Amino acid sequence: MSIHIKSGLRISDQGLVFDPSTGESFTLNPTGLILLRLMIGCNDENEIFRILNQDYELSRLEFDRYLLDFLAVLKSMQILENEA
Amino acid sequence: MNKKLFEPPVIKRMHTGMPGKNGTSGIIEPISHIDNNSVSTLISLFGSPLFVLSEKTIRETCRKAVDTFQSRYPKVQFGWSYKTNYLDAVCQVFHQEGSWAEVVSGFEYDKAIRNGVDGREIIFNGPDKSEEDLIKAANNHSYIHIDHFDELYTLIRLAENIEVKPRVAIRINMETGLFPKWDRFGFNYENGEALEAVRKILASGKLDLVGLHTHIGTYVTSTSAYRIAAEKMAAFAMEIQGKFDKRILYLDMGGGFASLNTLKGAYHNAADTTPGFDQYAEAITGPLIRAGFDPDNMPLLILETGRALIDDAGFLVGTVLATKRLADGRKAMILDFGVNLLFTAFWYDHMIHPVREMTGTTEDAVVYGPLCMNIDMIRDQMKLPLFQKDDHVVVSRTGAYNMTQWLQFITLRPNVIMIGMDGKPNLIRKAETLDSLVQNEITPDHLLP
Repeated sequence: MSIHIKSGLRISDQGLVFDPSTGESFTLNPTGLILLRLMIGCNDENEIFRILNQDYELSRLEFDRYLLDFLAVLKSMQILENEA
Repeated sequence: MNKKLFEPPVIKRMHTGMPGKNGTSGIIEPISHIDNNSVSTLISLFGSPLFVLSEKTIRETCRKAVDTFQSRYPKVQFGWSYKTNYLDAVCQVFHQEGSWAEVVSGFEYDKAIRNGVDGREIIFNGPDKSEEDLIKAANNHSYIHIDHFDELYTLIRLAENIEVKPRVAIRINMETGLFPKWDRFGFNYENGEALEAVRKILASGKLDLVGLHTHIGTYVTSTSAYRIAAEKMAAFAMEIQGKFDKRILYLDMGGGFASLNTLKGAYHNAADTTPGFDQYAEAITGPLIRAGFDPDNMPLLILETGRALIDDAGFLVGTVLATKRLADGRKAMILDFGVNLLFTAFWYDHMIHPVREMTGTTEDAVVYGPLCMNIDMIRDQMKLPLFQKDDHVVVSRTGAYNMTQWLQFITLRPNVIMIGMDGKPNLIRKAETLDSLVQNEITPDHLLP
């Protein structure tokens, strides 16, 4: 799966997200912030897992489960631009 | 190097506008222990889901209610409302605390007798009493509260062949400012129907009219409604005494006190709107004290409150079966109990607590039960911590009505335990099994496998 986050999002260090194309704002919890930033810089889920696994107690199964759920929410919020 | 725990990632849309008067905080305190028993240990011993009752809370609540009324009125008697929770162990706690039994069916009446309650201490309410029930109750000197004229005439006819004179009261409905008005039960006060019923009873000479009964509603948060009801009951008792020289020995004000569960659609949290026992007591006893009864012969005040005495003592413990994402992006959580066990979810916004400490992150979620039926929804929206599969949860304030209105539907009903005064858990109702469920079924020979 390749991940494409909408371009132009403004993301603060505190987890506030602003989408200038719609004017909507969102908040992220700390792990949501880390994951969204990783997804913006990299669209390869294997690479994202590798990076997260360096710092976090996280199995591949757990990662898959969380990613699936997070992507579904991003999609419903129209933050996920394209998912293949 | 120790790795950090990875909390499930969450993103939430920000909504502009003013927060409600109760603010935006959604922190739900965990309930890890009930009366010093670890919830996780209780689940490992008795399974999930599991109803847990606290004997200590029942007794403390009961004593508080009794003390509150007795400190304001000289003669007070509570009757335990069997329909609210008629598990034997629960009834026995109330009977040990001095409560009579208040029953509304032949089955409940037999249960009270089986529990060792003296027939003289059973109040028999409700519109459905068979002739057999009436004869039994009359012979046991129970208080029969007549609901309608058909029952009144039936009892007069039956009394011809009963050696004892049945002790009766009439149930009265009245205008108290509440909506909906409960005029489906009893005889109406304002249109003279109640007076006519009294006249018929006294004229028959077959029944011993000893009391008056009313029950103005359920989950009544308006104490003024109780004040109006008490004023009318007292006035009616005085009227009967004046007109017929008949002294009314007791006034039964019924139940209907609200608990601290919040009703669906309520703007305020129940903690802000539910009166305390003292407020109910003040509203009820004030008019009786001022009514002009002979101070040496005040009528006994009977109360049948159920919900407010038992709700806080009950907990429903369960497990998260799954979390999922609905098509519109909302979070959903599926628990191993639903409206089949938590029947009161149809009218309350129940509080669902985590068992373990969780981070402050919350997400709006829908909470479903395990039934393969669309109606099985416990909360249509609730700010929940980030529960995961196999997490345990505790629903507080489930003592009233759930263990009587629960459904054997799709799944079997679980164990019920009561944590005793010594802090030890006692199994008070065994979980149903396939065998116990089918024991009343009879399959015709030609359909046997």
